Amino acid sequence: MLFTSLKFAAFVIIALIMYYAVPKRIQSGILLAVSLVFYASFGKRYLVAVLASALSVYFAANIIERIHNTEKAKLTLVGKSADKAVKQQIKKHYRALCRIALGVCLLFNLGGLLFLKFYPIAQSTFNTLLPKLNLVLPVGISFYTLQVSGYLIDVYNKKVNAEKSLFKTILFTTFFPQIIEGPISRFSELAPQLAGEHRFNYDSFILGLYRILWGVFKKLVLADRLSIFVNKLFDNYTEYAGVILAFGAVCYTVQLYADFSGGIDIALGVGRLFGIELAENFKRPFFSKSVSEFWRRWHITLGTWLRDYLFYPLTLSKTMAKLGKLLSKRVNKAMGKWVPAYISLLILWISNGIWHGAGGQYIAFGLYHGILIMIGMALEPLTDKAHIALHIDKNKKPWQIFSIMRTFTLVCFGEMIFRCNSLAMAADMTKRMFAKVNLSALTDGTLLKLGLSGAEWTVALIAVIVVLLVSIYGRNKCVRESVYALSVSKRFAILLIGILSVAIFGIYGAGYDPTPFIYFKF
Amino acid sequence: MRNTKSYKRIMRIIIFIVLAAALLIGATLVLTPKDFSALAIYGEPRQSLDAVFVGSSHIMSAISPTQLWHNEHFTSYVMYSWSEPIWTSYYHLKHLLKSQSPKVAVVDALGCSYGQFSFMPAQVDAVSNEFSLGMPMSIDRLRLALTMMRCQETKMPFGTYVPLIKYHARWQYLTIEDFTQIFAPKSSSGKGYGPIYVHKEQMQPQYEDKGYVGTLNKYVEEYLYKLIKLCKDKNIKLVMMLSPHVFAEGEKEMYAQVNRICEENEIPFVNYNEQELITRTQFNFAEDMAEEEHVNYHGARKITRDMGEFLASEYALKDIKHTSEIESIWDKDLAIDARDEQNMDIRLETQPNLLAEKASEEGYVICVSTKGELNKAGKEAARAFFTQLGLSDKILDTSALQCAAIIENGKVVAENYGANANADAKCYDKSFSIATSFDKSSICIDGEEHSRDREGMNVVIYDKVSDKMIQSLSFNAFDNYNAFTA
Repeated sequence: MLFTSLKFAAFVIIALIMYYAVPKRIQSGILLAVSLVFYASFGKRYLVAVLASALSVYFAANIIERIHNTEKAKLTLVGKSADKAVKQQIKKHYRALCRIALGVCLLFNLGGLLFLKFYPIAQSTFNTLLPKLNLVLPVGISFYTLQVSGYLIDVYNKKVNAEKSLFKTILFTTFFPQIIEGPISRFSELAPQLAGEHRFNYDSFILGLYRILWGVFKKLVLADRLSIFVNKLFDNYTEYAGVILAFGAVCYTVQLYADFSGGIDIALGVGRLFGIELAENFKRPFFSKSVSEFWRRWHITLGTWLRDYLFYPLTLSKTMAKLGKLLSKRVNKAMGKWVPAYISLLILWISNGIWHGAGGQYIAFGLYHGILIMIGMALEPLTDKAHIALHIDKNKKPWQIFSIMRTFTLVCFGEMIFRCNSLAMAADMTKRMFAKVNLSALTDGTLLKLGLSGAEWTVALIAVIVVLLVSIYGRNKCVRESVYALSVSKRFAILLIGILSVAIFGIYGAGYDPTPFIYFKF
Repeated sequence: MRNTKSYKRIMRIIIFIVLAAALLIGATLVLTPKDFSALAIYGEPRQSLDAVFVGSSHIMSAISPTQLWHNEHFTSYVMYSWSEPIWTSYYHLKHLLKSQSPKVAVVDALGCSYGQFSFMPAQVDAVSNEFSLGMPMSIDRLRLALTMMRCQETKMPFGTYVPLIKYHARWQYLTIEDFTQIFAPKSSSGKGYGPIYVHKEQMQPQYEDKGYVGTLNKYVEEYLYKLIKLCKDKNIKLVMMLSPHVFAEGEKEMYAQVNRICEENEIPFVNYNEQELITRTQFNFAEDMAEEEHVNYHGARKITRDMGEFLASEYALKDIKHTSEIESIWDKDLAIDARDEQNMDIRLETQPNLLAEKASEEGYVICVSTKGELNKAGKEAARAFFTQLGLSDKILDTSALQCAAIIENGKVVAENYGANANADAKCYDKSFSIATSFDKSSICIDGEEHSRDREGMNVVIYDKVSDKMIQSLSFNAFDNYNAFTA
């Protein structure tokens, strides 16, 4: 059930009618039921995986909380006057128990995810040693696994209380607008909303619909149109000049943004129809002035998850502290400060790559961004000096535009690696991109032989301009709220143009294959 | 206060939905192709048709309404879609009867063979999904879509039948007609007839003379009965018809079942595959078939003549009086259709002298431009061509001269011979300009180049009646003056 299908629209309408028609105390029951039906529509066997994940987290979280409570009770029992060593002993004992519970559950969830992603590759490499298993990656597993793991770690860190209701834990895991491609929600933000009672809010509902329309526009008019060109190009990249490959990398980056952010817009819009606010996942990423800024604006919930649950714990770990001290003593202070941070960063970015898939291209994609960020950090003092020496004001428009363009170029290259089918292909494509540039290929009609006619390119260009203008306007204001504040006639005109654009220029129906969201496969 | 706010909101939502629906319907009307026969028939004046033919490409290629008008003087139209199942025929006819009241409806029995033999569901469903719904947006169209979902063996989601979903990708191919013909479909001058100008010799199927018994698909039977009821309710005479084609013996059994239902309901089943009718029409499978499935235009003449006589005598359709406006439309369409056939005859002609003869009639302009050395093998054919047109054939005996000539209505209006020869003339408000030399042949009509520019004789024929360049070919001096159109 694709987000852009009529089936999904009918499904949401029916779900909404039920949701607002029933007594408010059973609204969450309706949400759970429709979420399970939605997820089962992709394959009933996937339900087993997601329910196993939810169950494991439910039990582990409650066990951890019980251990916390027992620890607290024990500490209370021994009283304030007790020996510090005794208290430490108690804490150590229970911390160890918590760790076991946390470790087992994370091993089951994250280990399971890694196993499902890596086993097929390992099997194809060592096919004589490993048996062939008919493994299927459950839809959305990368997203819900991180979501439930984050919840469990929060319980372990006593940031949130364990959910006592299994039913609510399952709903938190399977809430249908976000299970397929995120955003990766935090328990503290999402769970109370899911459990709460929601009155129909007209304004919020309409704004949700606006967001869905915008998401559908980005997906059907822009992303799926560009995908026709991008797929043909990447499938036959050896036949084209370097400049076409570079243009393909740009188009893929735009496609990926329109596809992923469009899907997120639909997810957030649908969530809003049910009165539930999901976390934002994009913040005008192409206006970033550095790669690290880009990753603070692109797939935000993954970035913050990796930061909070991987980077910080790693950086602040005893091992890293010891390494820092050692390097400070043996080499110098700077090394002691930066090396642990760089190692943590490297692990973070490799994890980011692996999260997308086990292929070499994904790991290279992660490493590429990690290395770019590290270079940026390492060179920062030097570039600051250079700016001063060359009288470059970093706050002036020209420099900012240059920085944006530079970041965009670097990102496009990274996304090209990401789009390739293998690391070897990425390497070969990179070589070809620079070896046979042939600028004239941009104007000799090659672009018209790759699935899109001149008219189709015109529509794609207009859609890019619309997305760009909306992004520029959205710098200080919420575009949807601005439209909502317009007079009825203006508002209607904008919405009707939007609906008509999707209906006429959308890539759907006869003659087109339905294109799943790109992040659907993760 | 709160009620007023809610009321306003509800009103706004209703207005918005109405506006959005209106826009989407408008877009659908623009984007839907206009060249479907079941749409074009609505370009005919209301209540002007005496008979209607409904069915597949079999009936489309076999019946010429303008010939019927010429022979029997009654109006008719062929409303067809490719591989049309009987339920499609039913809904096409049902909807048509809201604007026409024909005395007779002739329905193609081929639609009854759904699911059997050459009419296998996988192929038929795919074609039907593409063409059956080429009818006006209406409740009948919706019902047909739902029927297709129910009756077809290949199940498709409802979205397949929503015209906007189906045709929205046409936005980049829209023409001005897509906007102008939204509410006024353009009727075709051929009235739905699709002549096939090719010929492929076929063996006449031979069947044993025995009582055949067969079965019909349950949905076919259901819609055959519905069709019969519809015609009874509307007081229209129903005739089932099957045009000649090569089919398996098993199909004979199936059509025997159609025949049984027709007999039960006193409906004539005119099966042109029966020996009696083959003899009566003098239909010749060796000459009158385009391929296994369709009759060619020779065959269509025979079938149309016979069907016209049958309808005229059985249903009093001979010399029906119409308003002068309708009579004039039909006479004009008859002339256009006749001319189209004549043009096609010219287009199919590959003998130089016969081409010259046929194109020397009233309303044609022949442009001749030679190129290269003409003194080659087979030049007798070229000489006959020049003689037929009244041109000098002396260039065929030298290797240095070229000819540029323009012939209007069989009379030479401009001619020149030489190493470089030009000819210009104004015929029927068109400027014809010919320039020829040893290595270049140019024939322009109003500045637009049409010459094949080949060694030998390059010929372009313009028809004044249809205002079209109807043929451009070359008789190649390097290939015995054989005709080439590429």
